[in-house]
Amino acid sequence: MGDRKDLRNFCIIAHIDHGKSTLADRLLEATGTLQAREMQSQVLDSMDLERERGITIKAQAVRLRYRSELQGEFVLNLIDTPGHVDFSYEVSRSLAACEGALLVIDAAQGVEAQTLANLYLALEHDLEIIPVINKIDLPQADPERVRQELLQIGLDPETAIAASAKDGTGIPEILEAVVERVPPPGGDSEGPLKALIFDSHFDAYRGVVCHIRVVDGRVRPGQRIRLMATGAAYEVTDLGVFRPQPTPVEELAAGEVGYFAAGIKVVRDARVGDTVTTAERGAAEPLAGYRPAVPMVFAGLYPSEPSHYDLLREALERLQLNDGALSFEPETSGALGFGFRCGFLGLLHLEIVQERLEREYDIDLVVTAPSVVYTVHYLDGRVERIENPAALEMGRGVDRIEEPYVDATLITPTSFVGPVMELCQERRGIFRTIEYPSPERAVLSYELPLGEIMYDFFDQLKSRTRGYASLDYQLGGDREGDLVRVDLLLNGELVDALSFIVHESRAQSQGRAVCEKLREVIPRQLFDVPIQAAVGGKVLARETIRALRKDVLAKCYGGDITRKRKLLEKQKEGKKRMRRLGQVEVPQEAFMAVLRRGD
Amino acid sequence: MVTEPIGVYVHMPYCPYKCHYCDFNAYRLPPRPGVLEEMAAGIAEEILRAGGEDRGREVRSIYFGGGTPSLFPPEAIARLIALLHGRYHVRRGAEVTLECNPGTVDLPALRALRRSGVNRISLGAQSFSRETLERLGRGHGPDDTRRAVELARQAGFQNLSLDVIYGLPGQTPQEARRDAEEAIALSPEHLSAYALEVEDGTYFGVLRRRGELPLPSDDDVVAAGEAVRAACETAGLEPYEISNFARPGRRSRHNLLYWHQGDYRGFGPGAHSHFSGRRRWNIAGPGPYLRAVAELGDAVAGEEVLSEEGRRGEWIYLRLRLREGFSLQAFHRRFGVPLDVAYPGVRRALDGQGLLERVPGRVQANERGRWLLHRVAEPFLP
Repeated sequence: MGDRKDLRNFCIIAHIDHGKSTLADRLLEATGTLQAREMQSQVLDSMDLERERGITIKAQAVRLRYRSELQGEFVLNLIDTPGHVDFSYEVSRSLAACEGALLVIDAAQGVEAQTLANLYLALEHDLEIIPVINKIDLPQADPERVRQELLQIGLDPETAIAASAKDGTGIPEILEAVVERVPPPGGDSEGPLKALIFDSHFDAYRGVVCHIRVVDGRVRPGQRIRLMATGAAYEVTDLGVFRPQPTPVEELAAGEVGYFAAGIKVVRDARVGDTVTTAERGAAEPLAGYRPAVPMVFAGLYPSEPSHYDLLREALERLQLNDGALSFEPETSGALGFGFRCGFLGLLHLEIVQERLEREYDIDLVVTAPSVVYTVHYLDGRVERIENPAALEMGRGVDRIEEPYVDATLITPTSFVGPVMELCQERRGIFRTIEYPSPERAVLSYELPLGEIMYDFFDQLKSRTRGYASLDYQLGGDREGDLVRVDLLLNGELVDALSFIVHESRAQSQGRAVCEKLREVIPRQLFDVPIQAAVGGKVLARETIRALRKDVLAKCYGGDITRKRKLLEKQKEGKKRMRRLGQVEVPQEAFMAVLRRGD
Repeated sequence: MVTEPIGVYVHMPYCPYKCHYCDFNAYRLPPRPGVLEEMAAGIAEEILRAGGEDRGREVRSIYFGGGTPSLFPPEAIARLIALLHGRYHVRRGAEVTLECNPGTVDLPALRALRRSGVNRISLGAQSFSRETLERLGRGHGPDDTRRAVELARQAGFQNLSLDVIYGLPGQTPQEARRDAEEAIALSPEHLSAYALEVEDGTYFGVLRRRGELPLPSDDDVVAAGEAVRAACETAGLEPYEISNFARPGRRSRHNLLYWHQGDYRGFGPGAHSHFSGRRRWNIAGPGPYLRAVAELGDAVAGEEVLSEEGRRGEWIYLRLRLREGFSLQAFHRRFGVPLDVAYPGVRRALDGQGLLERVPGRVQANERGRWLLHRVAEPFLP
């Protein structure tokens, strides 16, 4: 047992929208960490994007002071966790920094896929689970049904706390349960330093700020430290805790949570999951569970304005300071010119990066349809990882292609089991198990190709189950598939940026869907423009954009001239934002047409 | 530089009703006595008091447009013409046009107008199909148009123009041609045939948004336009602008001034003026216009000054609307630079796209180019 009996490290885990951030706000308020007037709703979601989208992207840690009537003074570290499947590795590292978890469940919605996924993750880390049935103030709330479901997933319903983070009900009980039920941290402050980096962010003045949980030993300002995965050594320049403002401290000992800065220049050098130890006489073994961030989804990012190439590179470099999971490499496309092939944890991550590039760096982007990574075994024995469909060399003779699969958990009311299974079959899912934790709820396990669920799977799932089903997944292994590359030809010319890899059985329908989409988004030109989808040399689908027949205003008299000239100038301005592929002018959204090929 | 004669436009903003396609600065006549008189007095005030470099200039054409100028009492029109004679040197034989709605004319009024100096009538026939007229929201029938033409002739008008619209919802190219032929049968000196343009903010615009307007395809509109052109040419009405046809010597002098980027002065609500690349426009709303004129003697709402490139591009765009296009020499003379120097490679590119008529020393759109005129003009715009 460690030496800090007054310390509790815990996190809040929940399905999206079950009220995690509101509960965190309420805990901050109730412990006087923040006065009500200082509260900006959802304090912990600090990026604008997080607040707008209502999801947590970065983990955060806050130190709370809590005085228990019965047991005296406590220091509570609340570690917030990311709330999206793209960031599940980050979630697991945050959980590793805690001894307990509040499992928040919406009293009306009940147990959802992410509830389960998070619960299993928390149990893997031996966390004490405190179920919180939230939103009991809602008219549709049914806490009794939720208690039943808790029983089904192996939790004691008696231990659940009914609460409303909105009106404050249950908050004192939750705080009391944290000190009573979450064990104090273990660890040996006198042992060699071992601290877990569970998050990091870039600060313009201090460099990378690492969020750490000290497991053994002590860390102090001025100390020489070493990051065990990279082997790099630094000197600690700042040490402190978040309350939630950064507050310097003289020492962090075993069991404590805080931050340090050490002149580290980019976030990738202080990777989430890495172990911090002392430069001399450090720990022999790092903490378990580290793995480098592996991008799962790749897309080409091209500046709309070719002269913005350097600007884009600088912006990506700056984003990377704060985003260790983002990767990028220069890439050239026949259609789009010079750009970058970027790797992301998932589609949400891609969207966030795209939005930040456009919003914070004011760069207009052309983004190609995202692709997963395929492993291609050529007949000549060479094996290549293909991040860009255009890189697949069909002519070289392909022995087989493997694609990544995920292990998916889908939870649905029993009445929608049929539609959910149908959807999974359509997406080439491999059925594993079905369980009924309660009479009205089914839990399905499937292995699904990542490439099939990336785009519209979640939307489809929601629309086919009237919004009731939920989804969570973890990366599984690669599996062989009958995959082919579909190429798109515009006016007879191959457009490399539009190629996509797909299962053979769906090549034709998806090729047709993309042709149709392109016909809709590409404006009529002065001549007929054929659009073809082909596999190898074989054309699967064809559409024609009919030539523009009429582009003239009937009237132009004295009072019209200004207005009509402006109309023409605007039309011309719009064209400047188009890409010229051969003779054809193509708007930027055409490159996303492949995304909307869902048939 | 020689000062060229200018044109004068007078905007009369009231109509008995608002047509379904109309997005002009026109208002349904308020049901209160004295409205027309007030407006006429306001415009008279502007002609009398408004400042400007145009005073004393030679005037070659006057155009009363609207709205429905024929709604106004002939005496009001006569007074405005008299005031214009005071402000300008109106050339003998100047073209003086008044737009009429076929449902709003009678012989005494037409005679009075003719006496006061109006010598050209532009009659909004739009169609000769009763159903079509109803669908357009026009308050007159085909016979009203025929009668109005007859009365205008009786009143002594020898220069008469008719307006028709084609490309209407549900209309076939054959029906469009028949409409044009009906108009031609009335032997007008001039015909304007417009492809329908549906604008937001009109009744048709609303129908279109709701998906309730069965507009013909572009191919059908082009076929209709070509059918109308063929009918006109057969009857000796020469096409001279995108939407305009005339017997020899009867082209609209006033409108030619616009297409030549000439100088013109506008009076009345929302009217535009242009002098050497500087364009001004009046306040559009009748009430605010009248208040401004009463207070300040003019009602200027805004102005723009064109850059040299802007003027050049606009000149080319306007000229290209004309069948004859423009000569390389005229461009060089006007802007002091040869066209191919100002726009290197553009002429060759357009020719390569098959949009130009191959006439030595001239730039003019061919048939395909006229229907794609904005593509022809675009490379010349800034």
